[in-house]
Amino acid sequence: MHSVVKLADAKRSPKWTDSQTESGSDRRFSQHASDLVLRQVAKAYRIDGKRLPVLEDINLTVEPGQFVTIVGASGCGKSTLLRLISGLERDFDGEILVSGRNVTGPSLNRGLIFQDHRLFPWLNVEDNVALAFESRRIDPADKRRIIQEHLKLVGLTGFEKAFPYQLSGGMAQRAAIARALVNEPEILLLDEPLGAVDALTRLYLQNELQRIWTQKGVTMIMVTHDIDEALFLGDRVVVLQSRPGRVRRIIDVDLPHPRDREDRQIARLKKEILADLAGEH
Amino acid sequence: MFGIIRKIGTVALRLLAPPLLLIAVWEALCRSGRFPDAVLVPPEQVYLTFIGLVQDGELWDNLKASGSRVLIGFAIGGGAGLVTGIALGLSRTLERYLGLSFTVLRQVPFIAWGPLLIIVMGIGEGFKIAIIANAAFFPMALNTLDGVRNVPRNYRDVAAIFQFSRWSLIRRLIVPASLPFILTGLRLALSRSWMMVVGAELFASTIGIGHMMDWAREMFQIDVVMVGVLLTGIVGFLLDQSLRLIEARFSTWKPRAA
Ligand SMILES: Nc1ncnc2c1ncn2[C@@H]1O[C@H](COP(=O)(O)OP(=O)(O)OP(=O)(O)O)[C@@H](O)[C@H]1O
Ligand SMILES: [Mg+2]
Repeated sequence: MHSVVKLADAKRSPKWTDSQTESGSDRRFSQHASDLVLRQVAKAYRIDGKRLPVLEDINLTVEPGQFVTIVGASGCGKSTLLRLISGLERDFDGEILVSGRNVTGPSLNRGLIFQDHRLFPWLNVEDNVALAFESRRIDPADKRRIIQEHLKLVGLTGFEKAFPYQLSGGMAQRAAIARALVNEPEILLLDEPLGAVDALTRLYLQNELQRIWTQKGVTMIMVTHDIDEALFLGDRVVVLQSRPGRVRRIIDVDLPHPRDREDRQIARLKKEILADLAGEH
Repeated sequence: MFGIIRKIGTVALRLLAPPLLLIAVWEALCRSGRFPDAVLVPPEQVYLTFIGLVQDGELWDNLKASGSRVLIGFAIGGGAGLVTGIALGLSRTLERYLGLSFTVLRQVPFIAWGPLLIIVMGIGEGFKIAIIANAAFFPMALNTLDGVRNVPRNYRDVAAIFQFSRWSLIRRLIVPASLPFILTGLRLALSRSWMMVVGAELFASTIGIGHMMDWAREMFQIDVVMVGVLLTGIVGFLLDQSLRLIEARFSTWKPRAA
């Protein structure tokens, strides 16, 4: 149906060494970001006793350090796909392998930014971010520093003590991004993380995500409904079709980063993707 | 500023009007002369008796005795209820095994445990504590269970993603998310405990508010009985109100609204 293109991506070799000083000595991560393989992945939910196929025949190989973006119509199973990869959803067919090993559950190595921010309403921003450290042993001073750094990164300095109800939707989402980043996962799954932020912040955060990605060599898989965003960030764009969700096409975007948003090749690819998605109706 | 004063005034009026009316009716009935004074003691007499009981320290001793029983029984029963509620809410297996028995047991009116407990424990201090603990247990357990079941699945995903241990899950998510329910349980448990202590003391005690009333009944001191009734009501009311305040404070996650 589609060909899985393996990109030997040597443009950015992961640079764990320089981040070592940044997050203390308890890095458990290896020198390389993990690769991810999905083989014939299928997922069905049961609604009212009836089987509802959501994803079918998903094959995808993501090289370490790649940026993959996923686009597709609402309800085609994008969030479900990320839940499967994250390990939250264990009941599925096929295989999901990270560095050659089956995913059997969540891991701090795979971060997930949910479509909704999911901050705990009874905790302030700082404490919400600190939830990420709950299962790790970490020096309190380091913890505070890392949290500060990441809040600064997402532009929330000064809002440490604010409660989620005191934040705008976009700010809450940015806090959630900080929360997912502090553990420096090797694979970061992002479910429309910029859906709730304004256009300017969106551009700023796209650049920030790209910077984090380049700097830390992390593998990123990001769902978005914004095709410009998908093409600006993604080494590859996975276009899903719906009912059941299948891979319609995988587009390799062979342009260096950071990209020119006005690039002619991007404009051409955008047209193609739009045609693909429109073809569904 | 004046708004606040007016508000306090309204609340005070709403709070005080019914009891004042009651006292007026009570006084009127006494003056009508249709009931002998020994049966329907006039309000003034009850008040004087109350002052007397306060002055000779008897009331305070009895209140202290009842209060400490309530605290101990409530702490034991409420604590066990909290743990049970969380455990049943978190463990499918536990719920499968215990759920049904639990549902049956909670149907037993808490007074009905009295005779059984007396057979097992006699009528000593242990019995009173046990019956209070039992009265506190069910509202606490049931409300906590409700709360735990209502913790949004979305938040559990967050806990799973960050690999919370069971203890972290309880401490960081389950308890805070169910806090409004837990506080409701706490309030119900406390007021049941208070009712139970008076009940238990009525038929098995040598000290306590309930005992004071029972003893006065035997001595035909209706004024003391009435002091007991009023005091029980007022203490129960105050307990309930203070917990309602705490509940209101925690029912929304808006600490000191900005
Ligand atoms: N827990 C669940 N139980 C039953 N069905 C579910 C469940 N979660 C998702 N679904 C169904 O799976 C399908 C895909 O849902 P999913 O959330 O993955 O879509 P999506 O592509 O992320 O959509 P959107 O762009 O609107 O976020 C939908 O039809 C939805 O009804
Ligand atoms: Mg979604």
